[in-house]
Amino acid sequence: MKNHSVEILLCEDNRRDADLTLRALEKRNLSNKVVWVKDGEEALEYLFAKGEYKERSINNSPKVILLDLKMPKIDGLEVLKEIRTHPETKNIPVVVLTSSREEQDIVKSYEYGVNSYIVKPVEFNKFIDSVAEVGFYWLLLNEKPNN
Amino acid sequence: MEGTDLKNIDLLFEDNPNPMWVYSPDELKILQVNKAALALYGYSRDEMLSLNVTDLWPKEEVPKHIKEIRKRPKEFNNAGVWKHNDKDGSQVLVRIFSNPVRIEGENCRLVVAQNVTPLKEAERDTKLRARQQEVCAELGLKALKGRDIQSLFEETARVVSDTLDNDYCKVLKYLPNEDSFLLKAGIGWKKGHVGKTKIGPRKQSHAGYTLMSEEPIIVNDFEKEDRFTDAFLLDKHNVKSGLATVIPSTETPYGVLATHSSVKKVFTQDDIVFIKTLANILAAATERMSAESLAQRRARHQVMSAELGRKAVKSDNIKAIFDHATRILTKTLGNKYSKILELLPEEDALLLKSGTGYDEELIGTAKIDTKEGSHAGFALLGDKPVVVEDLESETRFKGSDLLQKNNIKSGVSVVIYGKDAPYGIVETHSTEKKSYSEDELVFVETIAHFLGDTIKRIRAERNFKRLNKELEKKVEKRTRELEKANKELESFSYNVSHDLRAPLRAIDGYTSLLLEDYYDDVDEDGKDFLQIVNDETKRMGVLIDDLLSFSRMNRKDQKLRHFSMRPVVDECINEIRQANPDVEPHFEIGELPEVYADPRLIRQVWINLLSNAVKYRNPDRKPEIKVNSKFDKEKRRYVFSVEDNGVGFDMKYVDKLFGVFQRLHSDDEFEGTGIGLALVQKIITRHGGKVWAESELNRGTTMYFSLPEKIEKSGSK
Repeated sequence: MKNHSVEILLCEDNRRDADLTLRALEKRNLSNKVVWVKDGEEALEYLFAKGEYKERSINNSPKVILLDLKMPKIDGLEVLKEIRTHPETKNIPVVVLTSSREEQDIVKSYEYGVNSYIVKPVEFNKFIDSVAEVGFYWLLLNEKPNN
Repeated sequence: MEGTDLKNIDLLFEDNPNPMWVYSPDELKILQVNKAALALYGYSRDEMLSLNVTDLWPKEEVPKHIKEIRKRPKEFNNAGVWKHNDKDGSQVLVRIFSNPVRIEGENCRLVVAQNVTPLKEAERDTKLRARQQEVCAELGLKALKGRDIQSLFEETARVVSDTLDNDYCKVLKYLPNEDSFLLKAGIGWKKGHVGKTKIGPRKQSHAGYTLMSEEPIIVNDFEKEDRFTDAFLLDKHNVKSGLATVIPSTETPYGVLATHSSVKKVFTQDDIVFIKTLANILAAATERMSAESLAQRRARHQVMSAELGRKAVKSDNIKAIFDHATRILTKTLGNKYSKILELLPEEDALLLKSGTGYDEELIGTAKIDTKEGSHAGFALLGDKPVVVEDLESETRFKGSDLLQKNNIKSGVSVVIYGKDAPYGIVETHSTEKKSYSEDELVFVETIAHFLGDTIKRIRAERNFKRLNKELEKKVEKRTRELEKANKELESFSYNVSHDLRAPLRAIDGYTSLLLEDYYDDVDEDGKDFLQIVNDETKRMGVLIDDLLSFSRMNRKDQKLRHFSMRPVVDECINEIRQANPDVEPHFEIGELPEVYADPRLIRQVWINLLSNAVKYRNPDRKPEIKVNSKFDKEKRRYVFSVEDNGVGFDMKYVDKLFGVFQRLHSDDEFEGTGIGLALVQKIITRHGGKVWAESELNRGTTMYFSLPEKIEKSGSK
C-alpha cells in the first residue's frame, strides 16, 4: 500500500452529512485517506483525472466509494453508471449512502451494480456504526480483484 | 246391317276416325280392320288380318283378358281402357267399346277403340291440376286470414299468370254507377294501367260480355272474335286468347277475373275450373270483408293493436316499431298506403319516417309541407283525427303531391303526441273512395297512442342513458382529479419527511458529538439539555420514519401470493421478544390458515398489533397474548385476532384508534407516534379486509382484522 493512495472517496453534497461522515470515520480511525467531493461532476472528475484533478493518476483508484444519491448536477445513480462502464473504475466497490428509502432508488442502485446500500439513520451513533461497518468491510476485509 | 247402303258402311267403318276392327268371339281372330286401326297400330292390312286380337295385348295380360272375355254377357259394351301394343311393341292406351254384330250370318264382335291421350300428356295434366288445386288452397287460406284485399288480388293475378303460363292476368272491379271496370290489380300490363285504367262500357269488352253472360268466356283467337268489339287494353298488349270469369256476389257481382295470352291458346276445362275457383275465393273474401260484424272487426283491431303494444314495449328500435305499425294499419284496414311522418318544426315539414305502399327511396327522404294543404298538415293544425272520404270533393285541403301522385282517394290522419309537443302523424290511405267507421278511427288513434307512448319511453330511456353517461364521466373525472391530488399529497409528504431527516441527523449528530467530545466542558444542566435535544430528535426521527412508511404504503404495489400465516407470526413474535428482553410476554397461538395476500405488508400488520399488545401491557401483570383465527363462512373471509390482558381503553374512543397521529395515551404513559394502527388499517383495507377492536379498560384489548378468502383485485384505497 503506497503512502499517498486514497482509500475512501466520499461523494456528498450536504456539508453536515459529510462532516458527520468524516467524523464517524475518524472515530473508527478510518479517516486518514478520505477525499470528499461535493457533487457528481466533481466525483467523476476525480475518478477520471479531469478538470481540477487532471494531475492525478487515474490508476490510483480509491478502495471504496461512498456515494450519496441526491446530488446536484450529476446525481449518484449516473455517477454509479459511469463508474461501472469504465474498465479503470468498474471494479471499485461502491456503497450508496443516502437518506432515500425509496424502493425504486434501491432497485436501480443494485441494477447498476452497487455493492452496498445504506440508509442514513437520524441517530448519530447508529450512523457511525453503519459507516464504520461499511468502511471496515470494504477497506479491511474485502480483497479487491487483481488490480 | 240389313238395308244399309254399302257406301254408308264404308263411311262408317273404313273411314271412321276411330280405330275399328271385327273379330270372331271364338277363335279371337281379326276379321276386318279399318284405316284408323292400321294407322294406330302400324300394321299393313294383310298383317293385321293375320293376327288374333290377343296379339294386340301385352303377353302377360293375355290369360287374364281371355278369362274376362269368356265371362262377359253378350250385350257387354264398354270394356274400359286397355293397354295394347303396336307393331313396334310400344304401349298404346285405348278405350274399348265392343258390340256383338252379325256379319254374313256369323256372330262377330265389332270393336271401336279410342286412342286415349298419351300417358305423358295425361301425367302432365294431372300435375298441372294438382298445382292448380294447391294454388287455390293457398290463396283460400290467405283470403281467410288477411284483411288486405288488394294484396290478395295481386297475389291472385300473379299465381294465375304463373300457373297457366299466361302473360297477363287482371282483377277488374265493376263500378255500377259508371257501367265500367277499374283495373284493380294485374300482372303483365304496361306501367300506369293498374289502379287507374277503366274498361267499358260493358257490352263492348271481354269482361263486360262475361259479366252479362255470367259464364266463363273463352276466347281462343281474338282476331276471329265477334261477340264483343272494344278491347283497347287487350289490343294494346297484342292479346290473342283469353279466359274471363265473373267474381260473383250475392247482389251486384264484384267484378271479373281474367287472364290472357299473347299466343292463340286452347283453354281446358281444368283451366276454367281453376279460374272459377279463384274467382269464388275472391268473391268470398270481398264478401267477408263487407259482412264482418262490428264486434269481429273490433276484436281484430284489438288483437292487432295489442300485438303492436307488446312489440313496442320490448323494443327500443323505433324504426322497427314504426314499420310494424304501418304494416298492421295497411293489413287491418285493407288500405294500400300507410305512413308515419315526423314533424320537423323548424322546416314546417313532415318527414316520411316509415311507410307501406310508397316507393322505398321515399322513406327517410320525402317531406310534406305542413302548410300547403296536406292531409297530415290539416290534422296537425286541427290537433285531431281527420277523415277524408273522397279527396276529389274535399274542400278543406287538396292533399299532398304524394297523395295525388299515388291516386289516393280516402284516408285517416291522426296526430302522434310526444312528451310536450306533437311528434308527428300516422295516416292510412286508400285509392278508393271510402267511409271510415268509428271503430276504424279508434283503431288508428290507438296505434297513434301506442306510438306516442313508445316514442316518449324510448326518448326518456335515451335521455336517462345520456345523463348516466355524463354522470359517469363526471365521477371518473373527479376520481382522476382526486387520485392526482392524493398522489401529489403523498409525494409532498414523502419529500417533506425525507428532507426533514437531513437537518435532524445534523442536530442529533452534533449534540451527540458535544456529549461525547465536550462532556467535561458542559455542566450538569447543559448535559441534561443536550440529552433532551437528543431524545427529542430521536423521537422526531421515529415520527418521520413512520410517516414515511405510511405514505409509502399508498405508492407500493401489492404483491399477492399464497402463504402460511403461522411462520410469519412466529417470526414477528421472535422479533418482539428480542426487542423486549425484560418483559417476557407469553404468547398462545391458535391454528392459523394459509392466506392470499402481500406477505411483507401482512408481516407489518402482525408486528404492529403484537408489539402494541406488549407495549400497552398492564404493569401489574405479565402480558398474556392470544393469537387466533376463524373462518367466517357467510362473508367468505378469515378473521384474525390478537387478544391481550393489557391496559385496554375506553370504547368511546374507539373511533380515534385508527386515525393518523391519533393517540389514546400520553407519551408519559406510552411512547408512540399514532401511526401504527393507521398503517394496519391501510394495509388491511387495501387487501379488502377490515380492522376493528374490542376493549375494556384495565382488562385488555382484542384487535381483529379480516382478510377475504379470495381477493378480487387489489384495491387502491
